[in-house]
Amino acid sequence: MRVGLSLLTLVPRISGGSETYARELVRALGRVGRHEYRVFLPSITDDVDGLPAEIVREYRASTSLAGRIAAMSEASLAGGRIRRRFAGLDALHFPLTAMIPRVSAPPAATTVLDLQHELLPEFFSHAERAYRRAVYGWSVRRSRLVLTISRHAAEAIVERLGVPEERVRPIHLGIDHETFRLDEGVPRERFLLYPAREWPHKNHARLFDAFGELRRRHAELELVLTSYAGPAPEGVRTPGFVSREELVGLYRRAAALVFPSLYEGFGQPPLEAMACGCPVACSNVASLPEVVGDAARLFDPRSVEEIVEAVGDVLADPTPWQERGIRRAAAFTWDETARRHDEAYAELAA
Amino acid sequence: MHVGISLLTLAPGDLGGSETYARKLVQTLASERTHEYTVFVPARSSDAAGGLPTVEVREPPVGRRGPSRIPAMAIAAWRSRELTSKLASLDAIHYALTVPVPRTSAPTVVTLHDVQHRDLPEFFGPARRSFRRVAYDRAARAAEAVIVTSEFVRSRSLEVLVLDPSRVHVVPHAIDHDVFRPGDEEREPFLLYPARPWPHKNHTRLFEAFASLRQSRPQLRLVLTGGGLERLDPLPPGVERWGVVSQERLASLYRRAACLVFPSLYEGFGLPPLEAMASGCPVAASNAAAIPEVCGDAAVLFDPTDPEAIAAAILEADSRADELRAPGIERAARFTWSETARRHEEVYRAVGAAGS
Repeated sequence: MRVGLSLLTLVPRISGGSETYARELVRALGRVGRHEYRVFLPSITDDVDGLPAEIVREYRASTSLAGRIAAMSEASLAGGRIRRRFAGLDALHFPLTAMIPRVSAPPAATTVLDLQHELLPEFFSHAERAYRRAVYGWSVRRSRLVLTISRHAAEAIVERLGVPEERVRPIHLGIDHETFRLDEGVPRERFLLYPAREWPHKNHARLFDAFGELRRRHAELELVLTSYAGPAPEGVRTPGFVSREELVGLYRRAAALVFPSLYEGFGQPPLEAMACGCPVACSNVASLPEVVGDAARLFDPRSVEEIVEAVGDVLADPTPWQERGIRRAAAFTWDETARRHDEAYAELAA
Repeated sequence: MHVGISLLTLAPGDLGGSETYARKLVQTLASERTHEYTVFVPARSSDAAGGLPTVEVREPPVGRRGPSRIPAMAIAAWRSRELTSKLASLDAIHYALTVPVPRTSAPTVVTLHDVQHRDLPEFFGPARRSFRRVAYDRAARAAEAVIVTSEFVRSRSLEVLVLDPSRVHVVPHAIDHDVFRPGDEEREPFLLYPARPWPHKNHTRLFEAFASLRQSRPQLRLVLTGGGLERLDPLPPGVERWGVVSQERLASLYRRAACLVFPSLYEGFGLPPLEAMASGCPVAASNAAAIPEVCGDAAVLFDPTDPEAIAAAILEADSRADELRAPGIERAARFTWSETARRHEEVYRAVGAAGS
């Protein structure tokens, strides 16, 4: 059977997590996929590797925001020429959510990575929210299957978008084990690590309170916040954005990862840390318990006291958390993610 | 007497057993020496001398792989002119990592870890093979004394390099008994294999054996440690890749593993079976090369080319765990770094006396 993957709305280096997902999926299908594939790319990118691809010149891709909106509206209104490219396919997948142009054949799957605009509407402008609602709405309505990244996200899709449960497939993401791997040649140091932007749902304020208490108990303890550009109390280092290699080095040297986030669609940092042998103390909300399993010391992220207690436990006895973590992380591979996608594609064509 | 020890081709984390040997040898000599020593180290590994006086060599004679060590060697040899005064005062020099840099007129001792490039040439690319022939074979032939790690390497080197038997001394490696010691942890249902994925480490046949064992024991796991294991992807079900673990974590794994499985096709010595024995872990090991000589009768031996034999030996080692424990601990106790260092000093003394 022939499967198409449309990445027309990909904007290289802007799309963030969804871009990583799409690229890793294509690469892994190239390794383990059992169907015939065709990837449809916008003219602004031609470097997605792993599967046969074609550039769709009829889609007027642009890197500017206005240009992107114009291209999407044009394609969604008059998508006939683009649609002809999909002729002969048995299944079609939109990994970047937006089904553009809208199609009624072949049967389609759409990936919805998260519903932040529904669950955390205060972080979105009115226009952005309205746009997301419209595009997500038709994309999931016209798709036979909706793919998402955790059971928690699947429940939200059923509840908020009214998609019947039997049409939703939770498929976990992978992590890059070539990059994130154990090397105990370097000793661990006395710092906690939290890689997260200064967004409110990342919950830095409570972490700072907990850290103050932890520092009273462990005098030389430090906290390293990557990607963070907000105010920070004493003992907190904020190196800004770091490369993947630097992040790996931090995972290998940190005494523990502390992950107090109030919302995640999936949550890769805890798994990346585990793969590097870093013990993890992790929030118990949203998708996180399902992703980390029993391999992290879980806590209620709304309770400063619980954060203190959990981090204290991990610092006191890291070994069991490290070993469970190494095993847990190993189960999350992009190859497995790709195989589960293949199953969904087979369902579409059946 | 004044002995130089060269660790100039040390590439941290890349050499496996020979790196452990070189570091432990100089560390032990630092506290238990009867001669005077100078250790030649690359500047990036200036900590490797364990407290002995060092001469750091600044240019990078640290090739990551065999062939890239050739220009590195040349640089080191050229640079060594700067070290002339130190080198001139030596009564003997020991090339602990085989490659004979820096050059000197003092009598030389070379450690030959194995002659794998002669015995299993198909596992080496042409560049690495000719590098080893130039660097290792010539160094061994030119040396006043050759230290080998096992009777196996001695007999192979006498045969393929045609060395004078009176110049070849067997000095076994040892293990760190402070780290590898028995404990009272519960055994868990996993097999352990610490090895980088080099071809002679034979992971493929081990996976076959493991898959057949798992049919009747679905809970069984196989834990792999060591660098570069991503190359083995995708791993069969039940196989776990842990990566480069600390000595302490490795020791803890030995104390809990159902058994160490060591299916290597070639070892000049092979430390893991001894480390496992010292930790009270049952051992199922290959009967190839130096492995039987190291294991004695404290392990279950198997033919590493036969997956069925590997699987059968694992089952046997597991069922005889209690019976193998005491002989294993006793055997491992004989291999100490103090003894290894002492026997090196004897060789240095003999070579220095002959040279003066």
